[in-house]
This record gives sequence, C-alpha cells and structure tokens, in this order.
Amino acid sequence: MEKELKEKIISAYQKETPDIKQKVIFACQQESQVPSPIKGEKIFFKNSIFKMVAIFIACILTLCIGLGIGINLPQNSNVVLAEESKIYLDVNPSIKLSIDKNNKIILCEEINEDGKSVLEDMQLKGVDLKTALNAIVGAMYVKGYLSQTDNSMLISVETTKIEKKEFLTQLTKQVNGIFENTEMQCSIIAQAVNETEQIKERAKENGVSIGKAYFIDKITNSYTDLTEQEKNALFKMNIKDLSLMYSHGQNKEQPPQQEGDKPKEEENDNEDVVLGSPLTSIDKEQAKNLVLETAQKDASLIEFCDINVRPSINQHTKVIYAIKIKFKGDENVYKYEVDCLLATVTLVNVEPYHLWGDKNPMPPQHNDNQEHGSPEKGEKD
Amino acid sequence: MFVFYTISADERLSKNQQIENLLKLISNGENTALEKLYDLIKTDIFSYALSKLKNKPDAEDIMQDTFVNLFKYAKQYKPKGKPLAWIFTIELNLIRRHLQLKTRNVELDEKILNVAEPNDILEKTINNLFLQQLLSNLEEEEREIISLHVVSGLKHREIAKLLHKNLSTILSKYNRAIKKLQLLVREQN
Repeated sequence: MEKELKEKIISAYQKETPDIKQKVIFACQQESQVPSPIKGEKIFFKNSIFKMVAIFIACILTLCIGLGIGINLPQNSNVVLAEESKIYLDVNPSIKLSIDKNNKIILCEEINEDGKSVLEDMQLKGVDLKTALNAIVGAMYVKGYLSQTDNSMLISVETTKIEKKEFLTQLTKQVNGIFENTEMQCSIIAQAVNETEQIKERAKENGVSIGKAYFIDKITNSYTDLTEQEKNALFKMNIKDLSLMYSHGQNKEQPPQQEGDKPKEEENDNEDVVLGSPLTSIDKEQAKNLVLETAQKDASLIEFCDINVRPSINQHTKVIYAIKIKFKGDENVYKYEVDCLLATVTLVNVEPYHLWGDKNPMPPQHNDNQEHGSPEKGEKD
Repeated sequence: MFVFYTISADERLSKNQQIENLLKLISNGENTALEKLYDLIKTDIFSYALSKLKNKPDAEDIMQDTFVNLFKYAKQYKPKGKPLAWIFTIELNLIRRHLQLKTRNVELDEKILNVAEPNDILEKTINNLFLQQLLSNLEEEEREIISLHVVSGLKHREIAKLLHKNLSTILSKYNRAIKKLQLLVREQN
C-alpha cells in the first residue's frame, strides 16, 4: 500500500512539473554574460559573524594600504617619477615618449602633425612601454604611415641605462615582432642619442625630433662633401632614405664587391646604432650597369666614372647614386641619378668635358677608373 | 502486507554521483551538462518548492532561480557525496527570500507559513486532484518531508539535518503524513 502511495505521490509531482528547460537555459546564458558579483545573492553569507569578520579584514587592509605597510604601492600619478629614458619614434610621424625606470610611460607627445594624428585620443600615461609601442606602431600601420613601400622606423633613445645597446636591441626586437605579423618587410634603426644644444636647435629649426636631427648629424659627419643644399634636403627625407644614406655612409671605405661575392651585411662601426633589418637597395656596381644599359654603352668604353650616394635635391625623398660618367670618344660628361631603391635611372645633366673639367678637380681614383683608365691632366681639352 | 518502496541505496548513489559529475561539468563550462542536470532533478526541485509554497507559478519561479544558482555556484560545490542536500539548501534560501519579499519584509512565523493557500487557488493551478488534496491536507513540514523523502529519496537523517530538526520529529511527521495520505486514497477509492 505504501509503495503504491509513494508511486502515486511521485507520479503526481512528475506530471505537475512544468517544462521550463528552455527558460532555465536562457536564464543561465543571460547570467553568464552578467559580470559578477550578482546583486542580492548571499547564499553563503547567512551568518552575521561572516559579515563581521569580512568587515574587520577589510578595515585592516584599508589601514595597511593607508600606512603603506608591507604592500608595494603603485605610484601615485601626482608624484613626479624619475624620468629615466626618452624615446623618439620617427617614421613620418614623430612621437616622443618619456619612460620611468620601470618602463612605464610618463609622458607621450607628438612632435609633428602626423604624430598628432597617430596619437589622437590615446591615453598612454602609466602604460607599459611594450603595450604603448604596440599601440603606436599599430596606429601608424592602420593610418598608412607604415606600409610595404614606406617601411622604415627610427627609434632613438636617450637613457641613463648602462646597457644602452642591449636596450636598443630589445626595442628593435619588440617592434620587429609587431611587423612580423604583417606582410611588410621593415627596416628599423635604433640609436642612442645625446641631447646637445646644437642638436636641439637643429631639430627645432627643421621641425623634426631630436632623434631624427641626431641621426642626420651622424649622416652628415660620414659624408664630408655634402653641400648645404644637400644637407638641408636630408631633413626632408623619410627614415627609409636616411637609413640608406647612413648605411652607405658607413660602407664608403669598403672595397667594392667582386663578382661572385655574397651580398655584404650592413656593417656598423657605431655601437650606438642598431640596424634592425637589412636594407634592400642596389649597390654601386648595379647602379653603374643600369647607367650603361640606359646609355647603351659597353663598360670597356668608360673613360671615368664617379659614383656617390647623395640625397637628391631634386626629389627630396630619394637617395640616389649620383653618377658622373665619360665615355671614350665622347666629349661630354653625363650626370645620372640612379634611385637606390627603385633602380630608376634619370639623366640629369650633360656637360662638355672641357667645361666640366675646368669646374671640377680630377675625379677621385676609383677602381673603376683604374680599370678603365682615367684621363691624364695633359690630355684634357 | 506492507511493501516499503524506497529508492535503493545503489540507485540513490548513482543519482548523487550523476549530479556531482554534472555539477563538475557545469563548473567547467559544459552547457549540455546543465540540460542533463535539469532532466535529472527537475521534479525534485519543483516538488520541494511546491510543497513549501503551495503555489505553482511561484514554485516555477523558484525552480528556475534554483537552476540558475546551481549554474552560478557549481564551482563552489565540494563533492561530498550529498549534492542534493547542497541543492536543497540553495532552494530553501531562495524560498525564504521569496516569502520575505512576498510579505514585505515582515518577520515570518512558522505559523504564518503554515497557513494554507485557499483551495480555489490550488484548484486553478494544480491539475492533479490527488496533489491538490495532498497540498491542502498536509502541514508544511509534512509536505516538505514527503517531497524530500519520497520524491527525492533523501534519508530521514539527511532531512533532519537540512531542516535543523530532530530525527524523531522528522520520523514522526513523516509517519503522520503517510497515514493522512493513505486515508485520503482510501476515501477516494
């Protein structure tokens, strides 16, 4: 009898049980989207003693935080932190970052209009340097300042850190890491800078960052024969072209490559500059061959050939091989400009040799000249 | 001859194990486990809520809230082999809060809770006549014990612990409830 009764009870309840499965699932899905804590639920804190203990602990913690006992306090934003490093990021946008010893951003400001466009409403104060770099470089890429054709960045650091080169290398790797996720091949140059009054003044005059001014200063020092016009043209160049100028300037004293040689890696005698990735430009030999092809002349006809890397004053964003060449049996000296990156050849000037010879001293003795013979003074006419 | 029907220890262990396994899966984010848990204990949850509230719509709400809380707090359950006791604790708290809100924070006396719902309301909400009579004729604690022991298979000792009552009280009330229901069935027949 009791068994039947119990079965009857169970059956009655089972039949009466509503089917609210979908309602329950939906409610649980809604619940999972609501951030905790959920209001009003105090299932495990029924006991008032629990509450008192929790309040007591909270008071102790508050007191400890107030006294700063045993807790590594985060820096108060009103406290001026010791500025340890300044970092300048230059592409076309120029941005200055000041970081503390913990690599947290103290200050972030634009140096030019493009930099302002990149930073927009970014709030980077207190942010970790790595995160800030990711945000800034990402914004540059999104806004088109960095692309497959314009892919160079100059990172300049003024720091009290002892291991400057290590810091530079870390920064380079970090930014390279961002680019690895894109289709771009990028060229990153990182340098340690010393902010002198001269550099500051030059930066201000030309509307560039201290980092870029310092880099241009280095380039100028490695090219002893740049004209004022050419020096000024450097300030209008982008980082890609400046880095080409720099790397060619560093390689100036190197012997030319022989046929069959592997392409040389960029050699850098300056320990304060780290080149993050190889530059892809044609070398002098290739430039010369392009000129020969354009002029439809054979190499055996070269009387003399003078090749220099220059900033183009005609087109400010270009780094060129300025090639002055004279062929046997031809009275003219031809001046070509060959774009280092694009390998385009432009005939700039044609001048009778006798006029050119009067204005210019004997061109420097290159291996090319020795190979193909250089004109003796007495033979000039 | 009286045949005592009880859920066998093996079956109940199996059900408890199932519930514990499902709670673990829910805490790991397995959504299908929630559906399985619902199917396994929906009558247990509903019957207990109905036995306390005697109101089907309210019991439905409690049922839904209980499952939502199980979903929320599944991670906090520590397997001790008695998941139903933990679940009913959650449900009881929800019911108490519901009643407190219903009476607008007036402190409730057990006597107030024992006031039966008017029969016309039960008739409108409960389809099953037997169940209507069960809910009308039994006291609240009797309804509770019947639901927990008969429908959910909890032992009297477990019910005593859950309701903070003596075992003897539970046994006494249970026997009284069964006798009332037996009389009821005989009268119907």
